[in-house]
Amino acid sequence: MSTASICRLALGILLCLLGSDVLAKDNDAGDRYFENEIRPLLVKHCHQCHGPKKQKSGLRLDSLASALRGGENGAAVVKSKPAESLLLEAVKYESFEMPPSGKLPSEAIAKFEKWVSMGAPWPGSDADAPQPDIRKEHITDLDRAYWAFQPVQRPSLPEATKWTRNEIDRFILRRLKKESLSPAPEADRATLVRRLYFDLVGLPPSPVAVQDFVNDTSADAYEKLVDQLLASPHYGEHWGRHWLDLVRYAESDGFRADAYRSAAYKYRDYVIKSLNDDKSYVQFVREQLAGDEIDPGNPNALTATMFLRHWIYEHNQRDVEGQWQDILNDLTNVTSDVFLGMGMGCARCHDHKFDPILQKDYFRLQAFFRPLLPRENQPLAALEVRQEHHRQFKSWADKTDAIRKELHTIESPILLNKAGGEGFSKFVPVIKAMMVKRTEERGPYEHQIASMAAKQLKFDRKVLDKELKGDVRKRWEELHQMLKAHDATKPKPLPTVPFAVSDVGPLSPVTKVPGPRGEVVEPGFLTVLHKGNAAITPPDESLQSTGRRTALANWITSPENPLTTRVITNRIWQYHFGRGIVPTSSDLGRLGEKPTHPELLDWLTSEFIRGEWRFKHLHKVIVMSATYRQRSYFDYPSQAVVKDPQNTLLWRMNSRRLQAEQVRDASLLISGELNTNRGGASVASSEPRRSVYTKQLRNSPDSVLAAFDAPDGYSSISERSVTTTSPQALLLINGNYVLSRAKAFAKRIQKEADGPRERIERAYEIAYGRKATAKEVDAAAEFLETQPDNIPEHTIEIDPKRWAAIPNRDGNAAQITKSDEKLQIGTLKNAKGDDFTVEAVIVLKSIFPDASVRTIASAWNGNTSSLGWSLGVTSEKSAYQPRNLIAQVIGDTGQGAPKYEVIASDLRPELNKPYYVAVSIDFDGAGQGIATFYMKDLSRKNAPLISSKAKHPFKRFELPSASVVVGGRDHQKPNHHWDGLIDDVRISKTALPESALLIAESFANKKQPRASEETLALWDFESANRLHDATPNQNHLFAATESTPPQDREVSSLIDFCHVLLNSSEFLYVD
Amino acid sequence: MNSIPLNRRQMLAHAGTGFGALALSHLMQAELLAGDSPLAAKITHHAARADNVIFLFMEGGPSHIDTFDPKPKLDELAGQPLPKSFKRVVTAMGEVESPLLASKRKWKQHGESGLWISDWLPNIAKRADDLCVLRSCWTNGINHSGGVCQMNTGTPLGGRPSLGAWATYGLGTVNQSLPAFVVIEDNFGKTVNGPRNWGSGFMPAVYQGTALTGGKNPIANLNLPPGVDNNRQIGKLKFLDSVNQRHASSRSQNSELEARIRSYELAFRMQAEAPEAVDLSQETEATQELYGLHQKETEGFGRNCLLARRLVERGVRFVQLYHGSGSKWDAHSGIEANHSKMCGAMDLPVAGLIEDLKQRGLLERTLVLWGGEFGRTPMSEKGDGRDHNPTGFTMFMAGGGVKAGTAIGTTDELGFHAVEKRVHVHDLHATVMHALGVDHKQMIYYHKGRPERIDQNEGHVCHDVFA
Repeated sequence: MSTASICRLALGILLCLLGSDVLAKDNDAGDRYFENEIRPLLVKHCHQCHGPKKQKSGLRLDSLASALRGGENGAAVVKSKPAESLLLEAVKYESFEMPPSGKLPSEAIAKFEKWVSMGAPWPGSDADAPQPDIRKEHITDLDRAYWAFQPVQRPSLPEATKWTRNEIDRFILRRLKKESLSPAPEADRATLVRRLYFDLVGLPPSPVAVQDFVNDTSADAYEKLVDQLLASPHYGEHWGRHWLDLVRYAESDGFRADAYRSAAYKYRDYVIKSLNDDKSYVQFVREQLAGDEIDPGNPNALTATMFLRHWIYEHNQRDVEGQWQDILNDLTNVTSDVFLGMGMGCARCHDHKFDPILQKDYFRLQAFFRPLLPRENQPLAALEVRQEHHRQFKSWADKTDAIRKELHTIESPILLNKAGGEGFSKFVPVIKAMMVKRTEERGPYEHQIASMAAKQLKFDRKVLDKELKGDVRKRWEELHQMLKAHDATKPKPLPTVPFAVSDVGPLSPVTKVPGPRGEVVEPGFLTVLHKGNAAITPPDESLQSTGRRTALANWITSPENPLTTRVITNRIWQYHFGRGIVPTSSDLGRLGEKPTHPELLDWLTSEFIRGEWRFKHLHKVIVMSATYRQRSYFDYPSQAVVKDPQNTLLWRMNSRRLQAEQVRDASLLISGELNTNRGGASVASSEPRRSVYTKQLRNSPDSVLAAFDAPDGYSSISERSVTTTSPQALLLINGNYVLSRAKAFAKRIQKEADGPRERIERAYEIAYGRKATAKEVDAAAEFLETQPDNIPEHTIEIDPKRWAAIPNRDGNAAQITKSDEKLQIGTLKNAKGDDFTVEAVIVLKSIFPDASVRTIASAWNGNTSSLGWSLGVTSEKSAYQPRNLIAQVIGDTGQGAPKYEVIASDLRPELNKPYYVAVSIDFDGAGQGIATFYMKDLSRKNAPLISSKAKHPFKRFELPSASVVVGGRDHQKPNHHWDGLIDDVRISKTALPESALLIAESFANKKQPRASEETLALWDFESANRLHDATPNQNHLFAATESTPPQDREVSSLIDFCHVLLNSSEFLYVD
Repeated sequence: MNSIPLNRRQMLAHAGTGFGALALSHLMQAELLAGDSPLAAKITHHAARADNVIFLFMEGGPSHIDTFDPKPKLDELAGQPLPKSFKRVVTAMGEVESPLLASKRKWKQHGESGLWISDWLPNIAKRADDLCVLRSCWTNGINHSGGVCQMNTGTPLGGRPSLGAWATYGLGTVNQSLPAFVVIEDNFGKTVNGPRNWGSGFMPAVYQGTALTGGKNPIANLNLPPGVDNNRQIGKLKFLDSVNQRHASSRSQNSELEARIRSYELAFRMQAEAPEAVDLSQETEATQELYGLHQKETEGFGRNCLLARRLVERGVRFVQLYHGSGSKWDAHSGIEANHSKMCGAMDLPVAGLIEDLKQRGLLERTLVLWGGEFGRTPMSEKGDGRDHNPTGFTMFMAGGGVKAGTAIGTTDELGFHAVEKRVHVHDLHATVMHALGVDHKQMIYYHKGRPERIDQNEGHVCHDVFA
């Protein structure tokens, strides 16, 4: 094999990896390679002479069969054998020289070679038939013959067996049998009840619910449970979320400002209620697309039209027309994705390359939305009321037209030029011209753009009073008097609904296909399904609407539409099984995947239609099936693993990771914290409400939900990713959210059960919905027994405010400003001998007004007759003058009782500056010892290390029994404490020479470890537990806050156990 | 998911190891079957020139006509309106008809290459011979949000994966204990659009950027919770591992469960290795000084630049630094004061980064990319500022096999529109991927039936930038 072909092979592997690695559903890498790489080459370079129109030398290259058959000279393609394929010879100019216009670039030839090596994959079961042209000028019969465009048939049923419970199973079993596979055994009852709960209501079952079901021996126990769950109001909260994913629901603008949309939650409640009410899908779709036209007096129907408002919006976008076009594109994309399951995005710029979707079709669909007008004040009134209002208003408007026109000429320029917000002057002239016009004079497009632009301005009518002077003012006042005279005939404003839509009026702006030709199109459906323009019936005049969206809604929900019902049926199946019958549930086209069970899809779809387009019927049929009740894990037959490793044929149930909301909701339910209130304005994610009720801000997603792949609300999501990463693991094991749930869970367990084994059993029941096995209880009991040893005595949750950075230095320093913030340990371990050195890095913020000492570190209870030492800085009234670095020592001068002595350095640190300070004291046994002080200003780069020496009278010194305290003394009196920052406190058991100080070069350059054998303790406040000693001596500090009780290690271990359950796979997965 | 015959759990079982052993051995260095991770390092399409990218994002839009793109004509016409011959476009603040504003900068040619660089960037100017300046960039987003979104994701509208996410998707990472794609803001949490600038859009979250914050806890949740020390954590993790292993043992075909178990092992490794990676105190004085850590103005961004070097050194694929997070470069008024300050804070650290990368031999395999979401108009705003200019602006590259000491493309005489060798954001993205050895046309992600590419099928590699 040549190097080049090895590279190509490697590339091929890479492509496969890219495909399969990421998209588990992608098993058609070959087909895709063909569609992306080969078909375009064939069309561009071959089909002109070897296609449907001409077959030079008898060769056609528009189907695999004809390529394999070849022409007069033999097979053009021999699968997997490039050397034997004439096609390759020809493009390499080895025998034939094709294409005759010139040799293809080497990459193109390599692509052909690779494709043949791959076995010449050519998508479509209809490989024998010629494939449609890539650039289609028109729709062919072949296009129309595509499976998804065929009317839904109710297929005849395959035979029943002992295993089959309902019709679904017959289709599944027939397909399995064809592959000589058999279905899995039924899952046990505890598994089934947990599966049903998560699947239908998104929450885990309570231990009682599990027990009730497991113990219910009646024949209809399962069915009763299904009915009960489908009737639960939690059903809508869970299934509504699926719909919210599809409609890219979010509650903020999604641009820089990301403003909160305070009314958006009403749409979420509408969706939940619609599902709980089991509203027919016909009505559900019609309300969302055209509620304002269909049922103008129904607040639910108007709320439903918020579907048309969930686009992202930039509040100060000066390119108003560009933004409006983006919004229309968004509506077109989301509508085709959600309702039709046809990815039309490709067709925005060109005819779809693989599906019979014309670029024109994209804009025909867009034309339904062309007249749209976002409204913050959409009238809410029944048609009769609207009619009467409209009649009265029109009459008033006609009578007052001249007055209002004149008022407009006076007021409008002032209102616009003085407008607040983003300001009128910043718009380009063409937009300004639209805004200047009277509404009555604007064309529909002008009114749309002017209204969108006006959203950026804040009008203040008070400026009129300020600006208008003289005659104009007089006239202005007159005009208002005249207008007022008509007030009696002006109808009262109707109640309104915010964040809704209407049309701009009965006339729509034109829709053009972009490009040089700029063809004007009328609203219409996919040409392949419905030729010609849509028939549109304008609604009552009072609604001032075009009726276009009603026409679209009618077509989408027409029983003849083969896409709508298949798409929604497939989606419901997908949410139950984790994979659709068509795995690409928002793309039933050729770029999507083919249905695994086309007849089952049709049968289910016809069942959905027969059940009046209601979801709950379909849910019930699906979950009642034996297919759904299979086990997800058992000893997989090797045949099944080999033939269908991805379980596309459903020879078992799929085990699934909980979706983001289920993770969060289940942890709240298990911990006993879940607040099950329903509906209403969205709440902060810190509230223990179900996740569907937490605020959904596009730019600041909740970290727990986002980590588990909750969608960001930018585009329609039909299938969530399942991400497993280490940051996710970190969030679960170290993050505050799950830890807090674990604490609440532990508290609950403590309350509900006594004794470690009982608590373990209870926790398993709650978290997993099953009894723990004896082995599991043993293992957990052992954990509860051993884990306390891993928990330090004094670990205290320390206020993060206690940590701050010292200027010019990395990392944390302890911040001590009050006496109860000092840090301490018991007796220093491993302390021996009498010489010692104490070092620290400090920032002092203030000194005392009296003579108290700002203490850096000490081992002294403050009593002058008790042994001890203290390093500190003097205050205002000190005999040693303020800000003097001193050591206080109470030791043995050989005269019996301990003597107290202040050793002053006369080194004076300034306030609010970082310093390194140290004292090193040696005791020579003769009372001639020396205390050496050091100080270095860390705020200046090259500041010198200064030192001073002082004699002291002590002969010997014993390290005292008092606690070592950082930032104060070992007593409760609220004085002598530090104010400021302290870092890198090191205590050494010798009088260190200058070269061994922490500040020495050898430490700065990391040539030497900061802790040596002589180091008793080093607190650098950097380890995960800030208070830990960095030496092996385990001289850990603890916070001496009086109110902090020592940690209960048994309780902490129980919390750890609960935390582990919340982290465990069994909690996060449903079998 | 495909099942792997000999899965990690079985392998560990056979090898007699497991989480506890992993913890005890203080983290094995051997890769843990990285091959089945979506982040495993992948084979490139062609020989890569660069392995890593450092993207220095000047947020808010630095003025190209005051830094890298001198326009004598602008000084000449200062005070006059934009000549009629120049095409009008919508600008953010509608300043198209405002008088032209001269550049107050002193310009000089620098280095052997003689690149023109203004006196606002004296240190970067010293690296002139390392730079490949693209003077003809253009984009569509006229506002910050759209502009920043587009520079990151290719389109002004949210929802698509970012450049770093694409790089991670296409190439994976060689260091499994650090995130593959790291983002550092210099002003925590204030970057326009927030995390979606480094999001994975329609791809799985595994490809998204990890935002580091300042201080000693740069990675979210990396530190042990308060009250938990290493022993306690290991105790917990061991127990969790045993619970998960028991659960997985009866579900051995589910590779997701293996991935989950492994994610905790990797998290533990990250916990051990990341703090070292971000500990700048390990750097010598000289190095710290090179990045400006000893000066107040440059310390902040200098630290981030130094951190970026430490990360690419450890195999982080894509590092993005924001300078001026929160549109701080946005000089609608008082551009002199604004840009003096912003350039002053950025110039030395960026020059230091390039120099440091070079002296360590890292520059050859690291592509440094500098620029904002757009440039600024030759027209004035509020008398002494400049409006957003998406139709023509400058970015520069260094290292990663680019042609050093060159300027590519031009804007018109006033620096308003890119004219010659125009480089759209899509082209820029294609070019960055090309440097990384990835053919932007072949790197495809299927989303809703569409073969999505980083450049939305519109980009072209700017081959001129490569030596």
